[in-house]
Amino acid sequence: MITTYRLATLAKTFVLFFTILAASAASAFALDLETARAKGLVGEVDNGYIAIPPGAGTEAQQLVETVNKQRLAVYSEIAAKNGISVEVTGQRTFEKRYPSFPAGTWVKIKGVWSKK
Amino acid sequence: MNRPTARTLSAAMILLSAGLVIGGCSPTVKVEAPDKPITINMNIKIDHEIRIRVDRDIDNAIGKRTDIF
Repeated sequence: MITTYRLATLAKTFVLFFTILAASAASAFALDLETARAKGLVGEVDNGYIAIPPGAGTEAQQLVETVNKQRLAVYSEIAAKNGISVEVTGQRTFEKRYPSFPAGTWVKIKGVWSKK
Repeated sequence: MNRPTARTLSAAMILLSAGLVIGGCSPTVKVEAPDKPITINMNIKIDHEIRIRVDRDIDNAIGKRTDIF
């Protein structure tokens, strides 16, 4: 009886341990946009996409590619719906979002990087 | 009878001087047709309407896709 209980507890502990491990590993790889932006690993470009600002490492490279690909899909949809170019849609999105960027966010405007 | 009197002479003088004055004040502002054609942008209203629609769509997308915006 006791052995069974201990085994069950042990199993549960293991499951919990691996879940935490897996979750932390996943979050370490799947860096989310907000965190990356706050850490200065990514910045917002005036074309409506994100990029790696000067001095930052390449940890967020995968994130940049994933986010930009998805943003392109969103911009394309809006552009097609309204009969405007994808480029203008991206630029307008940046303009609209700019006020909501927290101070200190890296932004690239007209090719120049700066911190908001 | 057909000899010019002092009155007609003076009247002629006044007319002449008035003519000179007016002539002297002839306007020098010239109105010229522009060398470039005048274009009136009829797309302003349409642009505005599209802009409003695009902005609304962008707001919706930002609200929905918080993972990428």
